[in-house]
Amino acid sequence: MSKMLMIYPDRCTGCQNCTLACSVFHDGEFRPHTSRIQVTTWESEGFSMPTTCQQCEDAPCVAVCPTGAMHDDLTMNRVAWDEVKCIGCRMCTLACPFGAVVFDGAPPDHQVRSLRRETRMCDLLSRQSIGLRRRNRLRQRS
Amino acid sequence: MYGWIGRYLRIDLGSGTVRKEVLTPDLARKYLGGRGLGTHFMMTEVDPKVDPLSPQNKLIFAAGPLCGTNAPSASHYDVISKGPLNGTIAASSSGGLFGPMLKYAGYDMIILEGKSAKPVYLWICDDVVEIRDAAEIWGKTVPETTEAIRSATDEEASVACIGPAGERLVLFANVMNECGRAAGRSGVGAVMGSKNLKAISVRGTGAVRVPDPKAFREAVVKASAKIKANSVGGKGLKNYGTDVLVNILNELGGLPTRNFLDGYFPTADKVGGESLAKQLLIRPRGCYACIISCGRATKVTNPKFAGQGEGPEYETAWAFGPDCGIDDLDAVTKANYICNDYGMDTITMGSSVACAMNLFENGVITTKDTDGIALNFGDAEAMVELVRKTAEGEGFGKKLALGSYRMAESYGHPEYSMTCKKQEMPAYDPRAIQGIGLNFATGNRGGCHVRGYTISPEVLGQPVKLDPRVTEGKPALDITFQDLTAALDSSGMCLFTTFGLGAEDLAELLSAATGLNITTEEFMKIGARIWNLERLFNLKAGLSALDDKLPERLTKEPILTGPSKGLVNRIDEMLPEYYKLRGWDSAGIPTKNTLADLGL
Repeated sequence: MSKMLMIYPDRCTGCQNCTLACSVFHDGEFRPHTSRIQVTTWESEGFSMPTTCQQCEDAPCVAVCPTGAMHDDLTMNRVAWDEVKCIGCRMCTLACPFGAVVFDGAPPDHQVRSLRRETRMCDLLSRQSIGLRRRNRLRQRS
Repeated sequence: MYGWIGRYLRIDLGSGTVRKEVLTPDLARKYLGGRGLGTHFMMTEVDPKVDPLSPQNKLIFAAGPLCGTNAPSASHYDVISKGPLNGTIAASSSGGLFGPMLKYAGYDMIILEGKSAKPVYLWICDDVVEIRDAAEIWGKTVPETTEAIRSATDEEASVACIGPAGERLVLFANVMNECGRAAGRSGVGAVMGSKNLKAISVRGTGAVRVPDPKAFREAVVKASAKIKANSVGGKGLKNYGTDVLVNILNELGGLPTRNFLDGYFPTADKVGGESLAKQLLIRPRGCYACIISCGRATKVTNPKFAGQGEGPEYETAWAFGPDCGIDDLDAVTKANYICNDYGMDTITMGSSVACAMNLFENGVITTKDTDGIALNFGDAEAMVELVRKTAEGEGFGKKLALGSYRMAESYGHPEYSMTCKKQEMPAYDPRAIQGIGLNFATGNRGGCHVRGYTISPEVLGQPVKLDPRVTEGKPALDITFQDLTAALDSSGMCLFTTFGLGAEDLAELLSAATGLNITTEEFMKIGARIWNLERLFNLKAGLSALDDKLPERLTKEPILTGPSKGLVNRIDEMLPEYYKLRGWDSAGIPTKNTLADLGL
């Protein structure tokens, strides 16, 4: 059965368990800063809004990328990031209207692991079927 | 180190020096973190006789090893200091994002020393630690401060701050984080105010690591399933919040009413969780990593008490409600909002208002003392006005700002104050529930329910139902709950996870997070160690067995109406056995053998 990531903000309690699950799934450590899901909270309203990559059809991050590192992955039907082509200019993080792209710069010195510079965005858990969401939307539009 | 970060901050606010120090594995294992670790540093570095509001007192913010992981509801940090309300060791726990964020920034703890010459706030972003001028935000409420500091530092930062009450040294001022989460009791906010520290803003981009994420996940899934399967942890708290307890306690006849004159309030349902869910609730809210979501995002539209924010939870609904003879949920919630905005503990605030009403009705104080306000039980508008006056530091509010004990004492009648060790008791009548009475009396920070929540077995039947009216077996029960809670607070978990989890589950989670083999026995022993250390601090501060008592009203004046009519608390039957089981002598002092056994 194919899966897709849906978010119902009205049910969100702001607990951020999704960001923890995301970071530990991808990185093996609890580091919500690099989570591909980000939760924005308005405390005065008692409201939280989780956001992740919307898999835009006309993706601003792809349009702005000077090297093609951010690209349309046609086989998996998603927006994808190519580590080899990325020069770390961070334009994509500015272009994304949802704040869904995070640049993981030099980690703080208390981190034991090696220094790395990576751009992070939702890869839909790298499972091909999840790309359905975008395909469905394209279908709806046409 | 896994679980822990392995270093902490030491900041001298007087000289402005910041040091990063190493947390040794031995110390971490001995006290875990949070409350335990903070108490250890208080004991070794601070003279217990120190004036709590002097620069010599220290203020410690400490998170536990599980904080920052996705262990269920593991978001708690503690604020540890010598509390100004009653001069005991204070450890106030709070959830929200602050504790985990502190660890992501790379610190298990912050020790604050000295006093700044002018108002400042701290900005911690990973390795960058700055002491910044707070002249412009001094005097602002909690939401205003949070917003201003976030715009000046980082929109995603977690801000723990004091409100105007803390600046004004209201003795029960608290530290608020994320606007609606409070390190509520003992007046730790006043200590922060005395140091001229308005806020701590933290943003961390680092990680908390566990040795084996897969094994840890299994432990988390197992623990989460247990909480979700529990009737209280899984459903009751999410649907109705902690306020669900109003009707439960009232039906037992254990809901203290009108400053503990009675234990039954006929219209209690109007301020209960069911009414709250129907009338004011927008949606449940959770702290960081929480699967319980007892928080209440609420809105009051009644123009007289209009507002929006978080709460009320059970203790608050009781303190401003039945304890003051009030059944107006809008007014109760409004009083809660004021306390949140100004940074005050709702239990002490409400109980102090109830005490003032009691004094007024008995003719001890008159409208001359109360700025012309008639203080009769049941007067919702007068209650909200007194809360506002205390928050703003006006007239009679300045008296209330001292807490009920000092206020009643100043009129020559301290017996009207419903306190243990000068801290107001929360919403469980010890006359109807014997075990909780012993817990209030022996509590290391005075009247407090989150030091040993024997309500679980005595009232809620968790994990087994015990008769609340008998005293037999209660000392041992209290000790178990007190030790368990001390270790749990220190590990970074929320107390509500004990609706579903026992010591063995918590020890398992801790072991999976730290890579150490922490057994159930070791976990409970850590709790006992912390409890005894707190006791030692209090004894050195000048407290004694004479302070382990309940107000006379609870041992001599029976409950007047309701299911528990005619009952009093029989603490004398329990206290000697409690001392004996604790390994303390008859004067309540831990024996040498006890201390040696605990490694103290």
